[in-house]
Amino acid sequence: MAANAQPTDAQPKITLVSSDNQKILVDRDIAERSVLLKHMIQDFGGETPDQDIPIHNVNEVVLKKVIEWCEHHRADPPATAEDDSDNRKKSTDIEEWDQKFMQVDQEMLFEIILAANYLDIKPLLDVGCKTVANMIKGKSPDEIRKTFNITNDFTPEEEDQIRRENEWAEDR
Amino acid sequence: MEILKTKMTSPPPRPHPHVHNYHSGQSFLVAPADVEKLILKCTFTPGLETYTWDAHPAKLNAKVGRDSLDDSNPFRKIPPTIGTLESLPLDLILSILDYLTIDDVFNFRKACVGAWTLLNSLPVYRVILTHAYRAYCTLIRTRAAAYVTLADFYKLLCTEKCGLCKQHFGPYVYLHAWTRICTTCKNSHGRSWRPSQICNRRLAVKLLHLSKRSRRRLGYVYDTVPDHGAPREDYVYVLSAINQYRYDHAGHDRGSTVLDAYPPANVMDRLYQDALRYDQVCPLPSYDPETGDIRRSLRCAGCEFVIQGQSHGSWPGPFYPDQWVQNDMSMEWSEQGFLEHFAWCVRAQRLWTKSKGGKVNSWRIISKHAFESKWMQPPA
Repeated sequence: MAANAQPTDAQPKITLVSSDNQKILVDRDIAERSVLLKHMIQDFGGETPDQDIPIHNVNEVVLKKVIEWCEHHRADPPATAEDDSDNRKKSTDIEEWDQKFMQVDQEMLFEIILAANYLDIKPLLDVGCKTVANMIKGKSPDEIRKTFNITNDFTPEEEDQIRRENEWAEDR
Repeated sequence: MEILKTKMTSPPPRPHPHVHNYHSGQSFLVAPADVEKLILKCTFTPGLETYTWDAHPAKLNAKVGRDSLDDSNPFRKIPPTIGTLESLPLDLILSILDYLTIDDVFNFRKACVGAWTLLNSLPVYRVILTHAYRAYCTLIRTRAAAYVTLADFYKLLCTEKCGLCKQHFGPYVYLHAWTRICTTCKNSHGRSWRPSQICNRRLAVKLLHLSKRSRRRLGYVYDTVPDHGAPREDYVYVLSAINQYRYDHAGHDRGSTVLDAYPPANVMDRLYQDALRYDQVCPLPSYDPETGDIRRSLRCAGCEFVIQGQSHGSWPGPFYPDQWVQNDMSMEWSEQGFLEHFAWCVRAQRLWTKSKGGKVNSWRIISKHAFESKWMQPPA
């Protein structure tokens, strides 16, 4: 694995085709950050496939963004099963580079998350989810509504109940 | 229960220390078929009113309805939306919620009907509300909820061992460190120093005569619940208070600050005293995610009888001033822990043999034999 991870000029390339029919050439080890593509390549018998791989659900802009993330994280060790259950949910701390990477508008952020989900890139998916969680953190219900463009659809009686609940929680 | 029965076929190890007449000479085993009856007759679940922490349950229920918003209202516009979050699939939204602290969840839930119903349908949240409602409410009221995530909460709910001694069943949660804690650790005195110990802010300020600047910098851990008629109190780290004292009394040597002043020993003692006992725990049952069973703590009825007798002065038997014995008698056990305790507990064994295989009520036995001094002796 370690030998494979070395970026070399001799890396076999793979052609991905986005949903809007744009071809993108990527190194094989970058493509293999995606579990979906990794399995696909394995289905070719471990050979680097010379035909194009269509990615139906992801458009060019998002795919390029995802590949940019994979390129930066190409040397990361693969996550083990133990990491998955234990450390994943511990905190919403995000690496600095990832934080900058995720400074995009909300629509783009959601599309990156969806693409990571589709391509099965667990670490990217986690970073995306943490970013959204951080958008909710420490905000009042009103601010949350503004952030996600939510309309307040409680009935007056329900509003009244929520107000009572707030009083209970804030009672000093 | 089935696993417990099979486990009870072999005698548990001899207790250490083994106290004469407090422990029986031989281990006492019941037939696996009798285990359920034994637990029914010889234990009781401690009443919730004995806990120092939280507000009166009736008061809580009146103010925060469990699923008070009616999801099945036919006049409601169907389906409720949650704004732009809608573009994510449900499983991703749920994994996002796992990262949120209880405080955030509490706020997010109040954003719209969609969020409310979404949370009500989240299994983890449902389990927490059903089985650990008091801990949930206490977290919110103490403002400690800002540190605990939904996933943390669920994870702790699914454990049962005390997080400090890692030995006994922990029926309480130590709110501030968010770990389970057993009766022994909860009652333990002394100055076992831990960096996370906290003390009352007023007490710290009074004892250490802190300056205005230091008082501002004390920080804050959490509040008490104000439902007992007492004013709400702030808690701060003991360590932080001591450090502020050291800054107040710092000397200056060639331009650099020298922090060599410590509060006097008796003040330190006061600060660390009772640090674990003081209003920081809340009952938390243990949840088994595989079977959905809930395990609450059990007290040994035989031991409790002796404790009551001792405190009323009506106890004819020997008196054990030993701290270890006192702790052991007031221990709250898990089912398995109780069975291990029972194998060596003279009082519970006596109660069990008197009950004739669980046929006689334990209160009847106790009222009939209360003044016999044989309670501390092994049954014939």
